[in-house]
Amino acid sequence: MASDSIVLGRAGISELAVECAHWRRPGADLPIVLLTGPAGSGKTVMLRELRRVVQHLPHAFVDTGSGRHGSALDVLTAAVFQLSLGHRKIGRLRFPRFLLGQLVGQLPLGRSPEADRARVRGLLESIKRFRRLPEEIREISARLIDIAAPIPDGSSDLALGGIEAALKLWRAPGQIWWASGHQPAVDALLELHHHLTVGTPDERREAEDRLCRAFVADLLAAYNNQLRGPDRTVSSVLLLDNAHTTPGHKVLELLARVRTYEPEPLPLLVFAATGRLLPQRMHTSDPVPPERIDLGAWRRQRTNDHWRRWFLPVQLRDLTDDEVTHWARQHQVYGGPIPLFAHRLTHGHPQGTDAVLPMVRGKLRRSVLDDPGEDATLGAELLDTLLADIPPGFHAPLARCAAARDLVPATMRAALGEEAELADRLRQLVTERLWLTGGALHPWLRRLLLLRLEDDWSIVHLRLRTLYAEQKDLAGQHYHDLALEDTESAVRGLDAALTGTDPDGDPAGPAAWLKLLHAVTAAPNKLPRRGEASARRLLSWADAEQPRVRALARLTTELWIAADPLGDPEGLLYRSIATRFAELGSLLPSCSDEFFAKAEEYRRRARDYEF
Amino acid sequence: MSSNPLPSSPTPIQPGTSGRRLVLRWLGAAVALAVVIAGGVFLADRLNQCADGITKHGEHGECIGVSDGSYSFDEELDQVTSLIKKENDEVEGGRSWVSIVYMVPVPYDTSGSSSIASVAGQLRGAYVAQYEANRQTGELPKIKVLIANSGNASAQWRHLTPKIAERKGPDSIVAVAGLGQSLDATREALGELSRLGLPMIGAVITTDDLHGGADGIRGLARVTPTNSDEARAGLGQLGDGPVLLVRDTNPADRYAKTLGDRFLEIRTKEAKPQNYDSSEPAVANRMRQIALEVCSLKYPKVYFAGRSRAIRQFVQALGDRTCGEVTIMTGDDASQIRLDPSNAEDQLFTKALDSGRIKLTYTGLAHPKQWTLDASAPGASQFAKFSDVFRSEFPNAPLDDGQAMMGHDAVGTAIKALRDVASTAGKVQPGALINGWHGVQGENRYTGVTGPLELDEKGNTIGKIIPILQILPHGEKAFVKLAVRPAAQ
Repeated sequence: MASDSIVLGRAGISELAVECAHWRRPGADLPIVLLTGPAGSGKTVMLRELRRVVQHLPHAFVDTGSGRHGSALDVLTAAVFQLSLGHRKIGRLRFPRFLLGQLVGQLPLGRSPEADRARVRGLLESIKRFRRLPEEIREISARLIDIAAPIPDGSSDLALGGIEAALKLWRAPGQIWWASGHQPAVDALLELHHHLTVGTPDERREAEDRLCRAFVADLLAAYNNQLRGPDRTVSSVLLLDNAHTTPGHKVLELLARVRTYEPEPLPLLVFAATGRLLPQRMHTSDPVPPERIDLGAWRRQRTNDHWRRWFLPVQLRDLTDDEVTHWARQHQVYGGPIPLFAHRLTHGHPQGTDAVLPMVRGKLRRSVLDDPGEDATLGAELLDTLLADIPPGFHAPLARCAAARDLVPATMRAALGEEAELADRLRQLVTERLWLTGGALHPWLRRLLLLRLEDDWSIVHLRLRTLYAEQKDLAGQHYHDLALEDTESAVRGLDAALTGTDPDGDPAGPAAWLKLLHAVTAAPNKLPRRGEASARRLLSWADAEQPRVRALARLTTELWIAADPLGDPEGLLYRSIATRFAELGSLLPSCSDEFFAKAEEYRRRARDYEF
Repeated sequence: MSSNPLPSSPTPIQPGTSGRRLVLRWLGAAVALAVVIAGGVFLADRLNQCADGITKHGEHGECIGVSDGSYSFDEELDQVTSLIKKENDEVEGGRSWVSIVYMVPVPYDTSGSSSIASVAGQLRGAYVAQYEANRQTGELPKIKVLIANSGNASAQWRHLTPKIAERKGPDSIVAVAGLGQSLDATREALGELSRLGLPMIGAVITTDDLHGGADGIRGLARVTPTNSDEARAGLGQLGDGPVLLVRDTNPADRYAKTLGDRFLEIRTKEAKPQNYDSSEPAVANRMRQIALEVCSLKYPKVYFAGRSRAIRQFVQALGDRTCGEVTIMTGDDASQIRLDPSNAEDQLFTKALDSGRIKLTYTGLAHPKQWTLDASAPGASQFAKFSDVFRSEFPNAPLDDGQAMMGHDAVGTAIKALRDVASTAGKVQPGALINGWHGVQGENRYTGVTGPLELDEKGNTIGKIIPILQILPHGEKAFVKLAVRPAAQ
């Protein structure tokens, strides 16, 4: 994606970065922003965009899903290394306290208490004097650097020099800080080493907290520095990708916990991208879309000191149709109805939109998802990408569940049939991966999954129809009637609801009935031919019916076909749908207002599709 | 908020940027912009008015609203509008009066299916009906006519109906006549008027599925034959032998659709129709293709289920080819054909008909010559009186398109029906006219200038006279015969 497309639908995030970037003492609390969204929602792209925006600020970009970082401390080390790189007007941030603790933590101690003490003391002595660090320390440093980031050839000396310079700051602040507790620095560092290497889980956690506090102390010291502090008028920024991994969410928890006990605001803005729900209930509130980020509100609502309050969850929502249109223009794809088609097809899913738009350049095509990709069809390849982190054994069952309107357990069990016992686990998988939207599968994922539901189509929809019939759920029953191409049953049911001839119910008011109609006609389809031809075949039963039923049959069938952008890619059915609504409105005065408004709405849609 | 401006596609942040002055500059610009916008809104509001209660709408700035004759919607309507105003003013001071709204779709250009000449014709007819009714001794209530513009193709009806509703009480509006053409927008407008409780009577609506009654639009009646009636009459006139159907599939045009559908029901063994869609571009090209089909396959007869604009293009296309004799039969919309001798395309049309090979006929709604066969027929004397008044006020206005006659009978039927249900003091209860429609039958039929008129339970006419007319090379409408004769007295 071109960088100028990235702000589409995401501008609020960049704006937040700009807003928080400027730092004036005493400073203000900065959030840990969680960028959440399912696969293909543009999380990594957004982080890269943020990196571009903050490139002149002290910043770090760490992909915790790369496999390079085994622990939260490894992530923090990588961050420290990158934050230490120099920037014009800012100079270099140094992290002597943290580096000292990390180095000691990596020392091969354990021979004897005296020997261990001697080695730590030797390290502390070496950094007090202007001498080259011991070779052992240099090796450990090199390992730390390598974890942080792969070093280009010829740069290792530079990196090591940086660590030395950090450790050997005037007055050895690292050593002073470790000595600031109730014990000398040597003892504190030995205790740290012990907790990190052989301690109980609580001790290890405490050690990690301590190292994180060292990191925070280093950062504050850098900004409060007498000489360079006033130059540091911008925050530091930490960008974490795949924060759902264990090291990822652990470092977030560390940073949040430590900040809670730090009285001074920390000049560190964190953006963490995650494609999964984070544990520990880190999402304290529902994610907001980028345009609704309100830093002031976030600051005000932090009324207690619980560490989870530092998080500001943001949802990388799907793009709107206007945003897709804008994107299409930027990429010189033809305008007109093509962006609308792409938006309807992908629901604005960023990766899906990026893949589909070039394929429909110039002409709307029903077969776009059947176009050849590199190894398989475009639709199959896109689906494989989205399901990459779901175990393969669950793909086929998920495709069956995609036939359902929602993923409540009962529906899933009905769809799965003999594999009903997979329902709970499957639901958990999609929930964790943020694929549920309002209790249903994301429409784009669902569409791609339904491409796979070939042989099982009828049996699955039959099972679901039976379920809804037993529950007397009209919308569900007729939805699956349509999926099974039984238009007559669906239309008769809708007519009964409209006119009150259903013995089970009163006539539905127009607004409620329209809601029912749209719920029913959202059913998926496997129609092989273009809209008008399919409609004619499915409507022959209604030829002899009275005008209202004929109009309703045509309306229902055409709405159903047109609800699928692949069913009517050029929007050719919209005018006819408008006419049917007008017809029904004139036959039913009690509904005329609503139906005529619908007629106008579909006429507008038809105009939108005209080149 | 940050003191720095937020770029929509932000440039990389630079340390040390001062934003305070920028904020002040932006604030100043924002205030100036707000002042400009506020001023613009005020000016726009002032510029939006055409007259009191009549406002501009749509991308062409059409003036939509209800006029008592004080405001004319088009300069072609100036004369009849001022006459209506004068009549209304005379009624105003009287004891008992009610208003009938005459709703018309005033076109903003010549590309649509309705012409300003048709609108003017209907209003002239409506005026004459008003004039006659107000001079019937002892008859109450007196009648005002209010002219309402629903916009080109009635597309702005949504802005009109609230204005009608507002004036319903103060102006004692008891019915809406005219109503425009058989389009989707008309249907919607009628639905809304029905919801407002206003009885309606159409002057030129012929589509079958736009009717009143229990399964139609409540309160709707009309003075025209239906398209089914027209199609039967037209096909009867064409007689036996192969007939090619040329059909407009524009989904918004009910007139064309019902003509085409009735043809297919009656003539089940004909060849596949030749279709076109008037809502899409390149209709003229399509007409050329169809003309090729007609000429190469030597169809002697064509039934054209479409509107006047496409018919002209079809005739021009036929004229361009070497073709045998072709008789075209179509519906009443052909009455909209008017020719400008200086227009190149109209010259082609004239040339095509001049050749004698092409005969263009249609089922009309009315024609002044339809009474020449039998001066004693019901309606003939009515027409004579109508003609006297019409010619005295509008000496040069056409009658042969039937529009004035239909406009007259629409208002005339409404007046008769409302006087039937009025109290002796001339008071008419709201909605009472619906019962008035039911009464227009049998001995109580209305005899208008187009003939006797009875309404069935759907508000449709029973046994309406249908004249067969022919369009001559220079656009004149000639009377051929009556396809349906008036019922015996």
